[in-house]
Amino acid sequence: MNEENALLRAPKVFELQVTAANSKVSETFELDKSVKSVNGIAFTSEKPDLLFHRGYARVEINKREFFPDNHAVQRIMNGVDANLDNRYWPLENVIIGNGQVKIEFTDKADGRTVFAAYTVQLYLDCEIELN
Amino acid sequence: MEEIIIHTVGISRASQLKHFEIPLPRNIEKVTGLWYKVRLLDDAESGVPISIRTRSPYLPPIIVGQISLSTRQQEGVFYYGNLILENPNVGFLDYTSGVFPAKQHNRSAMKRPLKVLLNGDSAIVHGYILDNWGTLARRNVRYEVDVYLFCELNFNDPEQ
Repeated sequence: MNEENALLRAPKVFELQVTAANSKVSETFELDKSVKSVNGIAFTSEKPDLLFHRGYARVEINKREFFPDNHAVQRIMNGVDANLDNRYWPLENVIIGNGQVKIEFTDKADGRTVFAAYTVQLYLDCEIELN
Repeated sequence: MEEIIIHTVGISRASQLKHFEIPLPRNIEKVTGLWYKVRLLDDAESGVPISIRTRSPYLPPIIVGQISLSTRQQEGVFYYGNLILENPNVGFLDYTSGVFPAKQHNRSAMKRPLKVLLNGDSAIVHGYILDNWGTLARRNVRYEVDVYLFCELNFNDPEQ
């Protein structure tokens, strides 16, 4: 591969707001045309304890479901002690297709936490074509 | 292709024994992994124990109950074990914990499933959960356990 169409590995970040307890938030994001592959996924938040205990998400890329409804986000989160090169949950055989990333996020009460509005950040580990 | 089956079991009474069945898809090839998550429905401030305080830096985990999973096929009981609320010792003897206390959400790695191997001939997974959290709390504790089964599916089988 020559230098002109080399692929650059870069994260794409999407955000959604959870403003009510026990609510469901659905959003569809679109990947840029320059994104050629998606290799991994990660979730984080400014209130990681709420996301860890209360967050459930269904994730779909190009109409293919990677995580089913009510899948615990805590499985895809990692702490600050994780290796820098091991912070994404690997996704295999992702076909970009229409480039649509659909998230259905559900907040479910857990008695160990008290709800406050929080932001969920979805990171996708992408390979981008440089022009 | 991998698929995750999530089955939720609710417990509401102390020492409750709850049986459940998880139907598997027809085109299943095998079950390769198992994972669970416990969600407390009661308010923790109402007296439900979510940690055990000791003098030692080691904290014993809360054992929520026992889980058993089996099939009618040759595997029989393929998993039996304690349901642990969470590992409270992520920061065990960590000298930095006075500055930045280690918690599950900031010091834990991604949750890989426990490896199990179950033949695809099994149509149903039978299981039961025996409550222990209510026994510990000496009251009824309402909680839900999500049981995750990681299945490999076959889309090439002409009979399906």
